[in-house]
Amino acid sequence: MKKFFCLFLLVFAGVACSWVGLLLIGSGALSARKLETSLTVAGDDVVLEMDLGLAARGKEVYRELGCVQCHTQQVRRPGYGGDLDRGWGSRQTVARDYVLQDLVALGNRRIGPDLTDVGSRRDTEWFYQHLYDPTSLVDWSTSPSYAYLFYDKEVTDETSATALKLEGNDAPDPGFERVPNFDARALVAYLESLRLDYDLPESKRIN
Amino acid sequence: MTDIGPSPQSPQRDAHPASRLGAETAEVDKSIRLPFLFFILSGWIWLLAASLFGYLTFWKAHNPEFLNTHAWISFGRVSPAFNAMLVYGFACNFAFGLGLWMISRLGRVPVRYPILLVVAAIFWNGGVDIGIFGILRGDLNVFDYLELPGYVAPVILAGLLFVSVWVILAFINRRTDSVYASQWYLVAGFLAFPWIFLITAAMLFVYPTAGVSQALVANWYAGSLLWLWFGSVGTALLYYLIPKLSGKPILSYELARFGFLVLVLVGAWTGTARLAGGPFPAWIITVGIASSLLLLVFFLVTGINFLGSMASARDALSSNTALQFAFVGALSLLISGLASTLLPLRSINEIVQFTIAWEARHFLLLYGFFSMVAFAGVYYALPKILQHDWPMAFMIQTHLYTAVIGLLLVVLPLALGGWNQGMALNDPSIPFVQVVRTTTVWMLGRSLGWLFLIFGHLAFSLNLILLLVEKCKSVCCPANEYSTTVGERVGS
Repeated sequence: MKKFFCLFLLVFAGVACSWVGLLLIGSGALSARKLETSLTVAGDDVVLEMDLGLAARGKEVYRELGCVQCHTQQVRRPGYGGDLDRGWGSRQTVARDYVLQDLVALGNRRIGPDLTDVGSRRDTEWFYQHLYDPTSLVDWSTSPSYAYLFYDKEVTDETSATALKLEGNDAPDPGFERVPNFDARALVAYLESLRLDYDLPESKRIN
Repeated sequence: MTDIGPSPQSPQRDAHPASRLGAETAEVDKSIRLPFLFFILSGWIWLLAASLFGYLTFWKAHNPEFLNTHAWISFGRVSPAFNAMLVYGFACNFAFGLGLWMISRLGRVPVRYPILLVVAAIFWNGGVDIGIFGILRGDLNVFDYLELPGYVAPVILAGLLFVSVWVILAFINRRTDSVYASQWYLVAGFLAFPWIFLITAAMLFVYPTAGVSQALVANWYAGSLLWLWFGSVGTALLYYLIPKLSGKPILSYELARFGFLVLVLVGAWTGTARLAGGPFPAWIITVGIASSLLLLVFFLVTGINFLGSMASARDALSSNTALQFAFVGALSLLISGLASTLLPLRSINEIVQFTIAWEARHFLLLYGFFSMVAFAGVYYALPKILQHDWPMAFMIQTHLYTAVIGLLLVVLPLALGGWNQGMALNDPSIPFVQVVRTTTVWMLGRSLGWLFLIFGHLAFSLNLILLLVEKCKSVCCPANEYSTTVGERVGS
């Protein structure tokens, strides 16, 4: 029993110290209680907001489709990696950027580009087309197609704004249009909401 | 640490008459037969499932349109499902079976109420089953090693607690005075795993905090899982198997003790090194990097101890396939340990972070080290527990050769390709799609290597199925009983 107790104390020391030292203290320093979410930076009001409405559902779709397997959502500081030079953001991301997010998909792999600021780089039409057929926009893209998020719908009065512009064999039957389903629209709303277009006191944009 | 007890040089050293020792060991082996088989067979079925899902994952990485008709079979789902199958399905089941077996044997305590352990195994595997189904229908998480949906956490935690309590009771009720190195590592692993799992589940699924502290918790868990759980159980297995298979004591008991201290005290601190450059205070990352450096002591000490012990038993090493599995495992521990120390260093991580180089480390650690050692353990233990030899010794060799070729083909391209990918990613003059294109070529190596590994799994499966069939035959028709030399021929 004595030997077990010694082993227990050792494991306790290893796990409990790291738990308190890293997780409890760390989480405390990174929480919304410590990091203000409405502040003034160089005369501009900055109010951080949670994802709401369609974008909130889109974030769930992002998680459900496993996008994090290939995409990160974090921009490293200038001089550390080439994130800023690649145009993935105009400043590094800091803890405050994520403080209201209930799902933080920082990611560990960049098989695809970083998406922190993708809303500033691409427009709605591009997103739908890329989801439907990535190689039609980017040669050699290894992004899988998400064509199963689209369906054919009969054209009633006029063509939907979100309908894909398809030609040739891939075009839907005459009188029909290929449109994104609810999940695809939510996902695109979320991707469009991903923007790093504001300054924070601890991280200002570099022009 | 001196309290941990006198230092026997090998697991067999107690002053029991050999016949009594043999009878006790046989009694232990018999008592654990049912739960051991249940865990190992479950792990085996997961290994087969992981073989298929690994193939899908790796193939899709360079052929994105391969079987890409529905969300459930898309890369984003099969890839986390594969990882969960390998970690929680295959590796954990083998760890449970072998851990229980070792702790019972070393303490010479027969397992009591083995049927309850089967219930524990049903909980664990049922939880993982539901979890994999959950991943495929879209309930996956965004963190590595935590892909399983939060709702299965209580089920698998129940199974895990059960097994851990059994291991700890077997240790407390041991019938030996001395405590062997493997026992410390096992007790530490089985104490730490439920604990880190509980903390993580509570902080991520029960009382989730918003913001990047989620990633902090997840990375803490990943580091702890790899070292305190897989590191501990794998090391325990090596300390047990090497003297058994080589017939020589381990090189230095003091080194084992020292390595243990370092692993247990430092292991849980290392996970945050991976967060370098991310949106975290610098001290969190520095702590991770510093502890990764400290953990180097464990890798060096343990690696030297294992490889030195085996160097003094060259005859056994050249003739015993199970020992060769253990050798590959020990070598992988040393190399993946060095990689785990080097990759987090800021100047290196600036290049390799977010690249497939980290996948190389992950694979070398989980497959090269843990799985190879676990295969060695199963090749050694199963004939003893079933009292029946492996039917085809050459299949064990086939498994070994294909595993070594497969490992090299997976790990080397990922490591070199990862470096190449990182250098290119940091050079904005190279278009991103060009980086993707080059990386894809390196990934072809991984797909090819995995095919070799699948071939090895099939060799293992064939041997296992034949072993079970022959055993059943010998039980049903005792007249034809196969002559058993109780596994002495294992791998020879």
